[in-house]
Amino acid sequence: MGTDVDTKVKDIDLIQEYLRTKDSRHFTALYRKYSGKVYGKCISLLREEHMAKDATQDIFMKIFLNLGQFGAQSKFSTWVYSITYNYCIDVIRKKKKMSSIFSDEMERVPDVVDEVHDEALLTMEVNRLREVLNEIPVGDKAILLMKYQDGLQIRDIANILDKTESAIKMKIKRAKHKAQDVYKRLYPEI
Amino acid sequence: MNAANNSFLKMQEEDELNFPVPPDIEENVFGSLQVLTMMGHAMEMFIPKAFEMFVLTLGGTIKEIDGIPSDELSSGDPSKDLDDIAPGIGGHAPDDEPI
Repeated sequence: MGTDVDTKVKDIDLIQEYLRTKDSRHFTALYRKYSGKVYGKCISLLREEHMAKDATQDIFMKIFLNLGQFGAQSKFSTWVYSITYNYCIDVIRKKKKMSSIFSDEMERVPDVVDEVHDEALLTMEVNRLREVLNEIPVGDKAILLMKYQDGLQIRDIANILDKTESAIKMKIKRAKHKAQDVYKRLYPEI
Repeated sequence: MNAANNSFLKMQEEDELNFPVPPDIEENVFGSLQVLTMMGHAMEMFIPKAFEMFVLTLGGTIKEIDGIPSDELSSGDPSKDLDDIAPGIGGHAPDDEPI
């Protein structure tokens, strides 16, 4: 299947053209733009290639089937990542037979006083960051990826996870602390 | 923020290089997409006809089928229908001709 659709065309134009013409080249262009990132997130969260492969396939089918419902109130990338995170979280939740991968820590853990600066995570050596993220709970990892990798706003993360903005701010704060604690445990010499 | 000063973005770039998307995902997605598109077209073509068939099966009539005016459609009465057939056809003898 050939695609000669210009890769610089805006997502919303590709979507509207696809919905108007049903020409699969437009959907192919969207697929090629996002499949790497979606597959990478699935690998990162599910940590098994065969599961990531099945997940990526299902996620793109969901995207295709719901493309008409994309309202353009948010960016297309945010919508794609929202489907991706929710799908992966659901897979992990079912696999671990948990009702939620986000523990309700607000009631149990006392407030963290010191703020971990963003730079501490953003400038961490990549392999160490990967190791740290693999050591913290997957819900915390997902939240940190949404904020620092996808650059999602607090409001978007709250919508994706169906939580309040204040709950998300608190979860980010705690996830950063957990990451810092794991880093200190793994690399005590620093 | 670009990948130069964001380890999360660097990690994403590395992951995309280390784990290229398997080509069979694209084949499967677009295979399913084609099947669904074909099914959609088939539904668009056949659902209106299926409704007409359902109505006719129940003994109802539809005003127009393929542009035929309703007064030219069968009334459902065989004797009436035979009256409409041209003389000499369907077992009727022409009225004016001696047998």
